[in-house]
Amino acid sequence: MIPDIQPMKPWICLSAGILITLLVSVIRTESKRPAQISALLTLAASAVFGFSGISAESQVLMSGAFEVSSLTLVSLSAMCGLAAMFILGTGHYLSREKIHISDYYHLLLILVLGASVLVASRNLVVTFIALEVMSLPAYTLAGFRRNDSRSNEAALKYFILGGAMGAVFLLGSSFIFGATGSLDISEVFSQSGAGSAGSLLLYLGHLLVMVSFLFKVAAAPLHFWKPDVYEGSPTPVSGLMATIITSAAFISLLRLIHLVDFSPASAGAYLDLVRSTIRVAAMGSLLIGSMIMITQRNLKRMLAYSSITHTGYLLLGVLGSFDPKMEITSVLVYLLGYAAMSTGVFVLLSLSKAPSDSGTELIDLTGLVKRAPFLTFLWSVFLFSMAGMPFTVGFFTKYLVFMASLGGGETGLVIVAALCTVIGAYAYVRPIALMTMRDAAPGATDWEPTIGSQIVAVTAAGFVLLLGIIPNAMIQYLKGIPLIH
Amino acid sequence: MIISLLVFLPLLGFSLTAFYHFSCSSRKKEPTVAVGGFLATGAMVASFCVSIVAWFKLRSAGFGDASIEESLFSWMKVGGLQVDFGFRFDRLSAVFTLVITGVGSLIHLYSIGYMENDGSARYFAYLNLFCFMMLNLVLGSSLPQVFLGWEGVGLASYLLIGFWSQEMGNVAAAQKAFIMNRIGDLGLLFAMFLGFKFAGTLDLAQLSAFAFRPDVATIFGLLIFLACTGKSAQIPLFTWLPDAMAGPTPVSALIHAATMVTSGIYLLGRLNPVIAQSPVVMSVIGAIGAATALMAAITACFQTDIKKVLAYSTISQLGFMFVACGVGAAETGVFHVMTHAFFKALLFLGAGSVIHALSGTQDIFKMGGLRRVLPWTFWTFTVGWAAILGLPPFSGFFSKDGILHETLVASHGNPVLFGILAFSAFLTAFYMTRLYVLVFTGDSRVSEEAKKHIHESPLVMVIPLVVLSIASLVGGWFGAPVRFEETHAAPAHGVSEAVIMVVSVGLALAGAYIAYRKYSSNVRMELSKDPFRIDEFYLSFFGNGVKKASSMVGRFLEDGLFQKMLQASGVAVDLGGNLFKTVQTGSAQGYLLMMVLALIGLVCGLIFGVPGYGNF
Repeated sequence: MIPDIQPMKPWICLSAGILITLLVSVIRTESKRPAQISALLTLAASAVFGFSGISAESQVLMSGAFEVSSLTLVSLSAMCGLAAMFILGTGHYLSREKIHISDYYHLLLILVLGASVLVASRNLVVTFIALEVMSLPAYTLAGFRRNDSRSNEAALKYFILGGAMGAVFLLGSSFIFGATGSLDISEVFSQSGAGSAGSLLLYLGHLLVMVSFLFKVAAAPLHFWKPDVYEGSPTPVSGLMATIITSAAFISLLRLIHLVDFSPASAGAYLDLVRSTIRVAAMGSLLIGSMIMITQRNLKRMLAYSSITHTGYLLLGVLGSFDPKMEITSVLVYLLGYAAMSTGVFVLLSLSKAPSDSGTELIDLTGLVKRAPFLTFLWSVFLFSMAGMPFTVGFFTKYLVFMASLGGGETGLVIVAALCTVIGAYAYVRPIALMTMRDAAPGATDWEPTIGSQIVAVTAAGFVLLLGIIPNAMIQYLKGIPLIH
Repeated sequence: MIISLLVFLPLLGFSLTAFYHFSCSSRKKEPTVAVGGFLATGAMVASFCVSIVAWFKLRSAGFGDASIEESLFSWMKVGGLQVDFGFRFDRLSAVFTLVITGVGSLIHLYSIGYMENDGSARYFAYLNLFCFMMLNLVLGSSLPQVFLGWEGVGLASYLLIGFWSQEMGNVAAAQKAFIMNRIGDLGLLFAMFLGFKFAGTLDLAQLSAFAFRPDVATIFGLLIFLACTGKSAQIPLFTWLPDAMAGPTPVSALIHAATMVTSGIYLLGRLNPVIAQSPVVMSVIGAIGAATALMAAITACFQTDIKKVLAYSTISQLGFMFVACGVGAAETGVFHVMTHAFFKALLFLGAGSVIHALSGTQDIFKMGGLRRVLPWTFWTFTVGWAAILGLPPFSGFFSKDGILHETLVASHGNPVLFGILAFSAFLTAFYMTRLYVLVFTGDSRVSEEAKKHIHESPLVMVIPLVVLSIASLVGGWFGAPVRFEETHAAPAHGVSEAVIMVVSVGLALAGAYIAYRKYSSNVRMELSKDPFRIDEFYLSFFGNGVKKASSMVGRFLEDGLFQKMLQASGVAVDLGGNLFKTVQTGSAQGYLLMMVLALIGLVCGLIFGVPGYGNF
């Protein structure tokens, strides 16, 4: 008898699709189409299974290792959607950069599989495997521009640092196992004896596991890899990191933090340590990200620092979740909104015909309003959203995390974050000014809008604007999703 | 749905104009000003007509506390916060709405003539967008909705300032306006947080009726006022407004004189009951307003660019309005908003007409004797001049006189404020007469090149001038349009209005006379200067400071720290053979080191920071 396999259909579908895509790409090496179509069908099928499976009840499968709940299914479907948008929106980039097409698609699917299992895992071993399944394709994809030394460098750096942090995760897990004799996350923390030496080992393990996730989301001071890796990676891959990997790591981080039972007295002291760690990380990410962002001329590096700042805002929402209600709506809304605008920005960025060894600079945007008015409009929507302007989703996401962390008593941090929005506004408005108010600089690169990329960017922009004008439906929907069952 | 209709008409105009623009550029056709202007102006005129209907509807409800409320949909519902997206049309917002749609329509019309050579449909789309946002600001029923409009007008203003993008200065000016406004907006954002935390609501009616704790009321009021200093160009966030004159002149008239810059007064008027709870806030508003009025008036006397004079004059007049709010006479401030909207828009459009006639010259020392060649502009400008001087029976007289009177009799009034404002009024008469005399009378100093093209403006530009001059004449005759019940304290000491009237008219005439004597003959060139140099101070202190700090942080973290750490600690572990050497992963080791240090810090935090584990 095969037990409880039915609810895992979306994941199984995704895995089967990976095999098919791999097979297709081996058989049909000369064309990219079959693999692309196979990947898209896989994503569509598992998103459909995911969506149709959403119900109020959740199930814990595989002897408590795997959770199928509304949160995990919504995350899976959203990640499939994001991956599909990147496939549709950036096909031209792969051809232009002569990227080894057939391998690209199944690696991308493996990344999505890892991310969606990571979100659903309730067991530290499964978490570790999912983390690696998500990261290994990312390391490989980062180096896909083989003829560019910076791409190789990015892959190697990401691999070495990611590997080191994987070791930290394993060390933490082994401490946790040593302290409790279990790797089931929900069991580990409920049976911990407070105040004993054993619980120090447990907390130490938990801390290490948390740190490895802070690395994945590039929170200061573990953010150094991000600008280099973003700059070197192919643009769609940077986009996948900003959307799928960030989201999966954040949801997983939230679950790991909230599985700890903070009620014993000694755990209160540990809670303080966790909070101040996140506080320091948030403040560092905000300040470093926004201050360095305004000095950048390379667009991808700028977006890397921008995403470090967004990690800071997200950590604000994490801090706000430390109330009895475990209110994580602000983080989920932020992740969704940030994913929408990042998708748009990276798809647009992939349209630049700048030679890959020099990268796309701010100056390449000059005079874009005359050259491509519609692209300028799309760019402006996403950049204004990142800056947090009202009428875009970026405003509400920031507003909600500010409210959440004020509710958690983080007034000082919110003031710093609000000041960072001003610094950030400068960085985001400057490209818009260059596009709309300056004539094209000599040597500014051409932008090559394709049908697919425009459809994707318009969809993302529609999302950004729609959720910015009537956010209530999204907020109510995500509010109904509990973090842990 | 009458209010929603008047708000959404400009949005419709924006959509149509933008669609026209896009459809033209996709067919490689130049979108014409006439079509764009017609669509946009039509939308505004329609919106104005609806506003008048709404006004009469409100009147039949008997004014007073009556209001028309429309709730469109539930906007957000988070935690205990519930905000509806809706509009509230009461007497205060009615005044602003009529000014926005009325003056807005005229300026749209004027723009058709002014922008005929170097405009496009895009310009009119932006103008419509601005009006839509501005209506949201004054009609929004909750603070977040006001914030929406507040940011929206900033955005539209940013787009319009930079409209003529060929010149580098415009880009910088647009960015400066955007950033300065963002700083002010933080005040509004924090005020929202505070309002929600203590009052539990962000609905404007409930919020302004809420009795805050005194200290909270003070902080709340100061935060609101910070937002107002940004939008309404008061000390310390005023330097963007003169720079914003880089935009087309009708934009200056609409956004930087008649409407957007007065939104600070609207907000103070709307939240008047809360603001009035704190004497500290009231005195801060009064003091900042008076200081701004005086400083800007002095600066205006040294400017040579016709638009810069008017810009500093606007800052100064806004200072007058803030003083009115600060002494507890917000209704007089709103009265001055209305009359000022008429005559300042008139003056700006008149200046635009002059600039248009002289093919772009803005230096008042290169004008002169334009009375004969630009008769319509001259006569309408004269009305505006008389109104800003406060000569009876022009509208400015009633409102400015009212403010001067209130500084002595209102509950927070103070003779010092009266003195400063009276002196500023004197300076106002001086610099406006200086401008007037230099531009319109005396001998012509116009360059030969510009003389060839000199011409009176077309009819579409003259009509708005005439309508606005009629409004500037009669606008004050019916008294203040709004009354706030709370501020009707008994006069502290009875200074008769007649005395004030004589003093203020006397000062105005004296200022005008001195300027006339100085500038009517033997004109000597003057160079523009800024006696306070605040702009330069900001630039060197904040602008370069932040830039330097950022690049220092960047350098320190990006390069310096790792290199030094690597050299110093000698932990540069060779991570593995030749492969790594070829791809320069020197800094990856640094990254790892940093991460390990962070980990060690955390573990130390756990062992020493959590009590009870120190001995482990």
